[in-house]
Amino acid sequence: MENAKLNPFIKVLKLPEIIDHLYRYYLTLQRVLKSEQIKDEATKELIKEDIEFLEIEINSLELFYKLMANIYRIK
Amino acid sequence: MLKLTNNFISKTFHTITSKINIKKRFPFKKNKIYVIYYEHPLAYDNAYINTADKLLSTWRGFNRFVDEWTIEYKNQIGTVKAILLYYGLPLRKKKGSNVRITNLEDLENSSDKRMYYKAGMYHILKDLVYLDDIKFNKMLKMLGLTNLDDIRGKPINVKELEEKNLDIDPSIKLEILDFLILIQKIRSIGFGYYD
Repeated sequence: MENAKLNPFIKVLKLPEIIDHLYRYYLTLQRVLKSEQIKDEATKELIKEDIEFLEIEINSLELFYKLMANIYRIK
Repeated sequence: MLKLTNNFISKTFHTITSKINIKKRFPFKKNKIYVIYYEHPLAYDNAYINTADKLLSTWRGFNRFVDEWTIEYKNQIGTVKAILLYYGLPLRKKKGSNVRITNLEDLENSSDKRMYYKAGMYHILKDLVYLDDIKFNKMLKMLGLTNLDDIRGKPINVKELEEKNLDIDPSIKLEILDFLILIQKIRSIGFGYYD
């Protein structure tokens, strides 16, 4: 599997790309929620749950990246 | 004499076949859990059923989606305990107290079925981030996101879904696959498995 092949340094270099991808999803779902195209509560709740997941992942990956960038001296 | 013999043979044959018919039972067991693939992304049949993979029952989301469904198989009608996957999305029959569990009732009543389906699939896929590789690959097969060869089963009809208008545009699969790539990228970072 891909996990085993990547060394820690390469993993860190991939982080900004992943965060960017997550952020695009986050913005799209936020836009859908604010646009009022969804009128029923069940769909809204599902979207909110997904946004919450993306928020947590973005924050934790950003923190991890900052920490690792410091260790590997990435600017 | 010949007529009598023929009569006797036909009567005996009729009795035997009627006995066989009586013994012909609904082949699905009450104590087993099945997976119903309804309009599966990679399937040709409308719906079919197979036994659930035992390994998948250890996925924490698995039991939340097990529900009782009425199915028709070879003109026999009966109920089975199963996870129903509608175009890959697990659905319970009715809305429960937990809104996070995708269900047929909410999908039907959604003002945007496509968005409900998409948000539901994202919700399921995000849980896969923490699965080990074997379970992850099995889940992808079950959800119709990889090869389906080894999970095809018996063709059935699902009574609860008859005459329902749940049309999902097949092009949605591309959007789901894009989200799956994102999940795979997160997994490639490998923070560890928690399931």
